[in-house]
Amino acid sequence: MLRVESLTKHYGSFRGVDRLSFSLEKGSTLGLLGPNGAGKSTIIRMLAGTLMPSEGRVMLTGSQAEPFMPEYQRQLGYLPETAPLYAQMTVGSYLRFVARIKGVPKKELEQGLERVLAECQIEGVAGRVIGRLSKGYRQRVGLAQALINRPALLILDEPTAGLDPSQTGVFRELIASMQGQRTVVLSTHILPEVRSLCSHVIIINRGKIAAQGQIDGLLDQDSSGRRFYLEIRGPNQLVLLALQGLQGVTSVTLSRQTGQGRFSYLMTADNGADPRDHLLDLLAGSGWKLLELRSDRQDLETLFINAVTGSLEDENIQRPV
Amino acid sequence: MKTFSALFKRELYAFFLSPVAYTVLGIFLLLCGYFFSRSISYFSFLSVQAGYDASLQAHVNSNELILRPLFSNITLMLILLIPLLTMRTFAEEKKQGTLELLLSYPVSNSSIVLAKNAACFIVVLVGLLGTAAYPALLLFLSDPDTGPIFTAYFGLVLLAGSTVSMGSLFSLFTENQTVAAVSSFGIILLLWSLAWFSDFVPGMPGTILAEMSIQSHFQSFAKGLVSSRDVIYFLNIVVFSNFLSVQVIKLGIRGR
Repeated sequence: MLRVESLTKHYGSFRGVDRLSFSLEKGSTLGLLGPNGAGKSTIIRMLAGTLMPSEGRVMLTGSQAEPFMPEYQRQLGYLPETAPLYAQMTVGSYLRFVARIKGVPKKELEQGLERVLAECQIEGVAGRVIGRLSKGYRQRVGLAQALINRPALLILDEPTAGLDPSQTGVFRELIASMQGQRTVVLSTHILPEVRSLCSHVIIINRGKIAAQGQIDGLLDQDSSGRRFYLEIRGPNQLVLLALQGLQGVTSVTLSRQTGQGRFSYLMTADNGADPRDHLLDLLAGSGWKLLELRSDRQDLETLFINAVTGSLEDENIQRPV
Repeated sequence: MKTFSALFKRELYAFFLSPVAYTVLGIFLLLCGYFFSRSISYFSFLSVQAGYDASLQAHVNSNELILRPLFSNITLMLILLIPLLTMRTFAEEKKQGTLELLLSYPVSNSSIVLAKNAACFIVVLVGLLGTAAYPALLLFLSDPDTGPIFTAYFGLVLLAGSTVSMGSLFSLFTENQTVAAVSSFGIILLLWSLAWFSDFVPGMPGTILAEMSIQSHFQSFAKGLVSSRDVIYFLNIVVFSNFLSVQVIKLGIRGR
């Protein structure tokens, strides 16, 4: 759906964005994470075609259309940070204006207007002047203008910044309802938002990709390897030795003894290795009882902090999205 | 064309939704009416004097004593007031961030510039249409030469088009509307007053200054003359300013 190749933006000698490359499949949601000043908004603006890159290119894979081309812009829905809208206009007249400018056919205009008003839950304020709406409603009107042309690609820059928790919840539900239908690029520094809405994540630090991939895949990986938590009923020493002998396992430590011959272990394996199949084979032949097995994942916050502080610079953990 | 039309309508709508257009047009027409009444009073005074002094009769001419001062005053007021209309065109959009959204829509940079300038130009034309009441009144009361009236209005329309384009260009350089208004007013006034300086500069430099002056090129319209040289001068300003505006959006805003 979207391919970004070596996207770079120079500001004099400073590189605001440095050779960013990724591709995104149709219907997926990408979270662009990064600390303030990391270059997220610059990337978003280049994807939206309102800022020219110094080098590299952005294109829609089907049509080969690039930003600045009407063909690209007609498939785009864009909501910049703080939803800049014409405050003197009413919601209805503003959305009609956007629909006309985006080339929505006249016969589909009213139907499209009703659709986005319902989708963004703003039917009740259609006749009201935008400048008199609350921030939450203005943000929803901003989303409605992005959706009025049924865009294949939706780009949202910090869409929930400054909203209260209830407005944030409503807004996230709106975005979640689009999953699978539209390709969404979402810039934010709110980690739970990425966790709940996005299938993929790119962590940006100082204009460069610090980590990228499917969220679940990234969380399973850790610089110190994949970790598993196990509880087994069996002879501790023998179990320890057997676990340490499994293919891909780098270390096993006794976590705690829970009584009645039950022991908990923390097992670490190489990234890319999955010792669980061998474990089940081992247990089947030994007569020991597996009471619990779970992947002991790092959370997104740890991943983010590790990535921006440079501990995840190892290219082994970077996967194409 | 559809996008141009949608943009143009929105711009026009924005002008008449805000008090700016009403205030500027109201003040413009009020001042024109004041200056017109002063000219009428002076004309009446001279007419009465001419009844006693035959040598004055040759000077009592409604075109010379009423219309030419009226058009001269309209010109100066346009120079003063058009920057107040154009100051918001881009500066306001930049400050509110709406230009960012506008640039993401499938609309060309030239459509944005032309639609904004056309809407502002229409507002000025409404004002000029309002001033037509004064020559119309004069036609009803006396028998002035109508040729200079039409040529003067043609010149005013060209002047309005060129100053709107320049004002809009200056609005692109800043987010501050006051800065946009003051800088465009300064440049337009400078271009107007170059003719005054040209009188003191001998030879080719003086001629160049006079050729660059708005005033030099407008005077012939007020006298009832339409010269292609003057028309091309104003059209050049329109084309050049609009071209620069498009380039500023393309390289200065999108490429920044």
